[in-house]
Amino acid sequence: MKEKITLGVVVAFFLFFLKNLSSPVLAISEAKDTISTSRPSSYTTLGVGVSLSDTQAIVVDNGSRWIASDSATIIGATTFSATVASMSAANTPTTSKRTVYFATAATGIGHSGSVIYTPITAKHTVSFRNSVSIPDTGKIQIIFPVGVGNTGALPADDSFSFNGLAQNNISLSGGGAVCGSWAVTESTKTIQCNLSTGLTGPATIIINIGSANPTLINPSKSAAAGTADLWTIKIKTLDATSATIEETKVRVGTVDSVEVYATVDPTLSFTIAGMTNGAAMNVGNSGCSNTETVNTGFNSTATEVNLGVLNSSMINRSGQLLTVTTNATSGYSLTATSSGHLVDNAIGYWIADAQGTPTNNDTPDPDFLTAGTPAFGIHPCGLDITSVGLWGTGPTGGGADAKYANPSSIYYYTLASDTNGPITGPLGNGITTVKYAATVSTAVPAGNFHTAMTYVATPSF
Amino acid sequence: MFETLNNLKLKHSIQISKFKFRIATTIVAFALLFASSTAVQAQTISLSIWPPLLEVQMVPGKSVIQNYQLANNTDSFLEITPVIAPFEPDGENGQIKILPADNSPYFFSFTTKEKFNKSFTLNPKETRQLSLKITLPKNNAEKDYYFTLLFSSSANRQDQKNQAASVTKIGTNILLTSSSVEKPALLGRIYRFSTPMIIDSFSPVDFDLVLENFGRTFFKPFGQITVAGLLKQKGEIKLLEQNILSGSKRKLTLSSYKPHLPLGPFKAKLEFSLNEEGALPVLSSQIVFWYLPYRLIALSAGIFLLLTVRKNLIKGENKPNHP
Repeated sequence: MKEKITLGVVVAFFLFFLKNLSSPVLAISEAKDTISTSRPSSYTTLGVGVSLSDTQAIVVDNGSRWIASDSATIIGATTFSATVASMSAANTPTTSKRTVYFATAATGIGHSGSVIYTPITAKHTVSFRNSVSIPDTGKIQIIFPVGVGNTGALPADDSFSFNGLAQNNISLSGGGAVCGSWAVTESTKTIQCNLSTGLTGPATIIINIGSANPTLINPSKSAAAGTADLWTIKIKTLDATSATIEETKVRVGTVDSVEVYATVDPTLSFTIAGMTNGAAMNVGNSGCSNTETVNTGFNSTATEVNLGVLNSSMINRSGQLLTVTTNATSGYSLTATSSGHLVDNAIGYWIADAQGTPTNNDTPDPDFLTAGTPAFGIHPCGLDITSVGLWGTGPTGGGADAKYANPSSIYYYTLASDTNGPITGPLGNGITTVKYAATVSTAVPAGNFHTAMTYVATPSF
Repeated sequence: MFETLNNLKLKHSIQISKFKFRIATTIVAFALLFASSTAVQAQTISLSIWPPLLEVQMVPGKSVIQNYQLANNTDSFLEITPVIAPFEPDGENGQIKILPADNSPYFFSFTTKEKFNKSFTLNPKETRQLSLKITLPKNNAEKDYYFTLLFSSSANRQDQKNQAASVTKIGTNILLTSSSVEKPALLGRIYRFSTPMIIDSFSPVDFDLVLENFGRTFFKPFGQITVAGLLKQKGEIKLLEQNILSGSKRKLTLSSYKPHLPLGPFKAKLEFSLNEEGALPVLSSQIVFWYLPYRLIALSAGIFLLLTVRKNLIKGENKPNHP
């Protein structure tokens, strides 16, 4: 009896396997889906309302990224779009929020919680190789993940949105197959080709979804930053009764290929202004205590500093007022280079640099000027002067106080810096008076001496 | 003999006077020339740039466009020349050293009409939008590239002027990361984390924190210093998310800390991640310091010593003098 039961079980198993072997679902080979852009769509809500003419929007940081030239649509009181200029870093201006800066002002109103989005459309090129013939009445299906999120023209966070994909925007080629019609069903995320000419043998089939215009909308970011979102897409061939002949799955990833952040600090400004003859050097600079006056007989301008009549009995002084303002939290630095010595190119004679010829950046140290000893240089004065002791303080000349240097075209001298932004100026931060001074001896030939100073204001990183 | 010397001195004096006169005449002549020049000599040059810092991470072979706004805040026409130059970190405070620029535009071009090393005119009060296209070649090494986009107010001139001409340049920094993966490897370490061992109870504590990036991609620290005292004092200093560039060190800007009860031993625990998700690697370090009112103790000890000495002196004076 026991042996009969055992035999019965074995036969039953055998029949079961035989049944399954008789109707196999074969696997399609060489399947892939290539998308024209892997960038995820951007979709989040406003963290703070946007008013008419605003040039930025504070958004909830859900991983969505906006980059320059994106068109961001806000569904607010009305639906309007704004061109994006850039986006702030994480947690800026506040925790879990970012600022999206617009290149153009908002033309509508968006409330806190209103949707802001930028759909990223992509062309999908699905290719595969069948192993079993598909009858003329057969079908080919491409099935995207069925989500519960947005559909239509809005990006979803769980699938590709079909965005009104039209039949004439899909094409099929390969193996002589002809698609008689297409059925696009967003609710099941299915794109189906109803063949009019099937495949008699294995062939490589290529289906272009968005062949005329990229239309399917990439999902928005849902995986944690640093991880690509992976989407499973099914490919099926079916017979006339819609029974599956072959099928396979492919995975496609959406991931940002470019991440761009502009600092939240919107501007760096650099102003250079001339000084009036007779004016004190510290006019407009509360951080500079030097009250020496411009004694050249000429006003300086933003582009030229006339040092006047140079002679051996005095040191000629002039100046410019340089102002740097920035909201950058890391501050700024101000450096100077020059075209070279204060030189008369016609006769090839130059007035020596106050500190000696530069041999490196900020080297050698600035030095004093003494009337009658040929020398030329500049001296910065203000709150932000880099290494005040290096440049000295107080009046010019006589071997004490203010020290001067003339940089070169290769080696710069750092004049001022401030690592604690923002730099706004009223207390003297960001303001530097640059004094120019020169003196000659009787040995200096007459001529037209000149040099060109270049001041470079850069933000800290 | 004396007469000859005097004559020589007089002659020399006349020569000096003539020399001064020649210098003066030449300089005044040129000054007049400038005064009559038709060129505009702006009393003020003022430029603004937005944004001052751009951070970009790109897959090689991709491109991106970033808009910049350059504003002429003055009432004069300005000739502007855009230049792009690589830079490297200078020191530990986030400042830069601009490296010599060759004529190569590197990965950059303008999609607006401007060209590198070619000047264009910025009208008075004009704000111009320039679109910078960054295209990273596919075969470029996957690492960081640092550049400064400079706008010069005028070209360097070497003309016949006897004055110091000045050129204004304003720069905006670009931190470009070339990476085929979304999250490139970040390699950092705590180079220095210290504070004086004993802090006076009347002073705040200032931490000295220097981080080093020995990787190929810049990072920001995301974390804090947690301070805890034996007497249940607690505090936290959030780290500013400052960029530490590849192959450099940076001294972080930290706010001072003073506990409500500045007394006793304290532990300061530095803990941060190199990415904003707080994912690994998380770096940490701990130091111990003491809050003691040592100035008060020193002052009290000094006063006590003075009083003792004074007392002893008085005692000595009051002692009877033995014959």
